[in-house]
Amino acid sequence: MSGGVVLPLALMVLGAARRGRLGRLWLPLVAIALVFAFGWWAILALPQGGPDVAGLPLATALMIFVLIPLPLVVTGLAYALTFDRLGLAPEDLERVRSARRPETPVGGAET
Amino acid sequence: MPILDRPLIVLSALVYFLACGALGVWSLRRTRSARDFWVAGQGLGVLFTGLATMAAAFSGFVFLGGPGLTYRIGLTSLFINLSVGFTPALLGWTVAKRLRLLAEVREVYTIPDAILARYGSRAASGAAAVAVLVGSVGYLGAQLLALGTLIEAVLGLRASLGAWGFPVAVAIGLSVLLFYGVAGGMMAGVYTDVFQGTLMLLAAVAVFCYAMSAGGGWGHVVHSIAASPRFGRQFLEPLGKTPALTALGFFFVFGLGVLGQPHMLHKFYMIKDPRRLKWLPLVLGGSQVLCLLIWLGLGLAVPALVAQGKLASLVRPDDATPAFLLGFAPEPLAGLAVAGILAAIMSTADSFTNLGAAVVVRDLPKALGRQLSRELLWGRIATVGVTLAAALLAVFYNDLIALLGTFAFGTFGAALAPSLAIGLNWKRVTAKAATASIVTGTVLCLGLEILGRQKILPHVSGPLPAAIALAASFTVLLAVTGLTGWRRAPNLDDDVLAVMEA
Repeated sequence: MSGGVVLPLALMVLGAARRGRLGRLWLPLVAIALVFAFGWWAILALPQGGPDVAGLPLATALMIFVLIPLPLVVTGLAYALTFDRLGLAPEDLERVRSARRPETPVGGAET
Repeated sequence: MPILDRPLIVLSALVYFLACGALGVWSLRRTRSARDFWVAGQGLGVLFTGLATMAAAFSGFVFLGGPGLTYRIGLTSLFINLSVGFTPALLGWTVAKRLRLLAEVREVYTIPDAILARYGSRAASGAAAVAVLVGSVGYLGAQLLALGTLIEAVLGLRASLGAWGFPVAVAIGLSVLLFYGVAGGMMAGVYTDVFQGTLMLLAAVAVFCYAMSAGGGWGHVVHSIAASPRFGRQFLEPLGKTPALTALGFFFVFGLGVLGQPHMLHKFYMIKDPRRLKWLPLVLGGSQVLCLLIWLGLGLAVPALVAQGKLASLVRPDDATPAFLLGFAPEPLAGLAVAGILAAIMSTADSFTNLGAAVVVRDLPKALGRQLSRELLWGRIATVGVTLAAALLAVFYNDLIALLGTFAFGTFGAALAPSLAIGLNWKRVTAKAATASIVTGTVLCLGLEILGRQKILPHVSGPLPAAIALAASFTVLLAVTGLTGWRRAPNLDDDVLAVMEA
């Protein structure tokens, strides 16, 4: 189980870090880690999924109403709001474009 | 009910195919270069890219397989969807930006192209091409299984042909797919995906709302299931009817395997401006969550209707969606839903006919240091070959759509996720490590699936072959990198280095 939760988070950190730093991204990533830790505890530890909430066992309700939508909004917004600084700044794009090999036919051969 | 009594369903399917055909012809007229053909001229905005990625990712697996799997194992099936909350951002951070930037500096149109550019190794690229071919047969097989199930139900073939009903339905589905793939799918490309994605969203939301209403509302639906001796409260529990290992296997395979899905990753090449990737996770994730409403809606409403005595117990769990649409939905909604399901199946199928052809025409010859003449002819032959192999798999697989889809998804994930997600972000990963990881993932996933199905390893079933293969391929990548790249990072070309440092 831990591999299924820790590995995606580790990969997010690996992909998001710039020169070994996460900047303000650590906050949403830690928040998501805590949400998943609590969610998995509820799923695995509550007998028969726990008491009913909205007609569903608590653990199932958490899966549907918390563990899917909340990380989507938090990580999606974190990605968008830090993109200009930690994702791809205009100068980063220029640097990549200037590294393009002169012989590379970007645009593809005409058919 | 005979199909002629429900002409709107047939009409909606016809209108759907006509619209796709018209879009195909329109996009063919805009196709002038190889870049136009393979990556839609790198001219898409973020909304189109997000919708096209969702349409390629979500297939008959979601629309028919999901409710079918839920009917069999209860809400444990939601472990497949649990990762949708974070996978769009995971894709964004680890692979989307790097793949798009690689396409900025190199002529990169396919995933094996990206592996060749990153590792400079024809062995790694060739292994990736073989993995894409194997996974494509599995994924197309799942689409044909879904298409056969839908056609068998809509045309009432089981009642008229008995045991031959399903093979005949698959044969009809095969003809549709072949026509679409050879004549239209390749040229239709991404613009039909956008249209199909929109249709899928409309159908999913409409069916969810109507399914809840047909079952008597959310409260009555879940109460009927919990009170029924056939299903019981266990059906609603996260680990009620399935071992915890299976549930966790689903989460692991779909949470990490997403990083190796070529039909999704390929779409990232198509975005016009790499900086527009900023909003991709929200667009992709939002559309995926809306589409998954059909899984949840029918996954709950069909068992509730069986529990309420309004619907007979299903002979095959995969009949859940057709049984609801043909038995309960008003004709306009059933027509919209059938068009939506066809869209889900065809948008994924056309991605795989495209990818399968690319393997034969571009990736394998490149890996072998050759170039094919008559690319179009070989592309069409490859499309037919891959689709026929998929049809045989669909007829003889003899299990749920969702399980075949899990195998195919797992094959891609186990083969490609480590060398892309880690390799595009960590310079020390070597070509040897990538090749070993790709080969391990492909062989192990295929081998364990066969051994499990032949009852040689009877406990290795469901998502477990893919989960084991995925874990092994990550381990192999790290271990071989430790052995070959730890002391001295491999030399990377300046342009690839610039991409990895951006």
